[in-house]
Amino acid sequence: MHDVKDGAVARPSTLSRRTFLKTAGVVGAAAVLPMNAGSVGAAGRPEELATVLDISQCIGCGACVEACREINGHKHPKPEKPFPEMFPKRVQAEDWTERRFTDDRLTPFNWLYIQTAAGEWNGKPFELHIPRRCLHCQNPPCANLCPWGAALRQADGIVRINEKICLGGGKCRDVCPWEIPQRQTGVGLYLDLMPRIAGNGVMYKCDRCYQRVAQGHEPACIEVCPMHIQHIGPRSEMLELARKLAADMDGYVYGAEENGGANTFYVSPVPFDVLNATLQTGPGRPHLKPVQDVMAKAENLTWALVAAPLAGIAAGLLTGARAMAQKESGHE
Amino acid sequence: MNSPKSLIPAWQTRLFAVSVFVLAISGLGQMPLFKRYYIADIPGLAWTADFFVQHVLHYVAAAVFLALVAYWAVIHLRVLSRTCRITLWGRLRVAAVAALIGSGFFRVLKNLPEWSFSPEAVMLIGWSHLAAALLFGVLALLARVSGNSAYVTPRFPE
Repeated sequence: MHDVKDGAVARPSTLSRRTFLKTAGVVGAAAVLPMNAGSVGAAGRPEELATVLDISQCIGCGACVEACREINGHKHPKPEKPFPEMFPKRVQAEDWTERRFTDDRLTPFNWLYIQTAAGEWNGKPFELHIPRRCLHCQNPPCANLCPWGAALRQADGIVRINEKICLGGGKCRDVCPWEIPQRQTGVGLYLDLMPRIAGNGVMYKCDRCYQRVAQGHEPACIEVCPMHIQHIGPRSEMLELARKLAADMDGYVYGAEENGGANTFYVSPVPFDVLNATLQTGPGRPHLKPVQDVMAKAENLTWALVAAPLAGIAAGLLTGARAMAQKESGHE
Repeated sequence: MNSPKSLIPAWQTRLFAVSVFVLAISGLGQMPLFKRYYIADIPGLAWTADFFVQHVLHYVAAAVFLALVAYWAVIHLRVLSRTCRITLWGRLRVAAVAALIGSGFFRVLKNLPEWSFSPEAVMLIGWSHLAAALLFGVLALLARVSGNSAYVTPRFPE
């Protein structure tokens, strides 16, 4: 048995930096605004929830896909037609209403689909089915970079899009390493603002059945799986489980380090680069490549935002003291 | 001589203007506009459609902006306030800058993996930062157009 191989780039430990930033945040936040304790998670909050998918057990029956559609159907788009004409002409409508039953890729109506990888590895043929959906990153670029406050990460690790205010600009899809969110035109707040010149609908993706999870239930895809390939629980426990499953099958884990760490771990007996090479990838069909932490640069720059005003204050105090001393010596 | 000009040299005001310009461009660049409106198609401007580049630019310019604002605030409180007072247009813009920094603080906090806010708070943070930026831009423009761009004026004119 070999060491478990997380199919990803290693991320340097950021524990001390994060601890500092968290502390700085607590102090600063308390100084600026009274915080709503119920809305902000910090020290002592419950651990994020993560899921483990043992793809060696998936039979590709599609029960999870059906359950996802059924449970989340009321959240699917109900676009108004005809769509407003958009400016400039290069901006195209994305309409899935005629293809709402498409289930071989991610769409605004299909937040989970089964990807199949078939090939040969170590001289043996394989066929593996992989339920694909949002991985719910720990540091999600979609939520961090949404300029409109529509995408967010909950304290329980669920990353979701607030469909009430999303304008469908699609930035979340552009910055997502897997291009997960999918757009439906003709729906959402943009219709009430300036539909011709800004926005293009609403972006949709797996919200890990956040209402069900809030009520203590499992996401629908986990609950209905006849093979029980999925598990959900605190991230540290799920990561341990994923690594144990991988060790037992002499296999691999995907998601532990991808994009700085996701809250979805795939466990496979075949390396993920081998699986990825056999996959049909493209729009709505995410890859399984290693992914660097795309927010790492910005996260590091947070230090500069903490240090800059402190440096300004220090310089101001020095200059002020010098000026006062000059003034006093001028008076003498 | 502790006049505003001696304590706040021209290079600082120019640096402030540059940081505001970069913040404005990279702030606009947070929205998917530069690609939609062909700006990124202009040779040499493809980077304007790169959201990660814009994000880093915004943070770097914000660091310069924060350092200068903090420096000037201390200089004013420690020295200048004895001989100068902030003008009405100055007060308005200082209020807008305070709103920008306050909302920006929470925007940065929200981007750290350790922090989570409710959907309403996330919306409030995003919209208030945008509103504060617009307010500062409009006030700066009006102050310039009306000839009231000075932030401070002598308390005891000679």
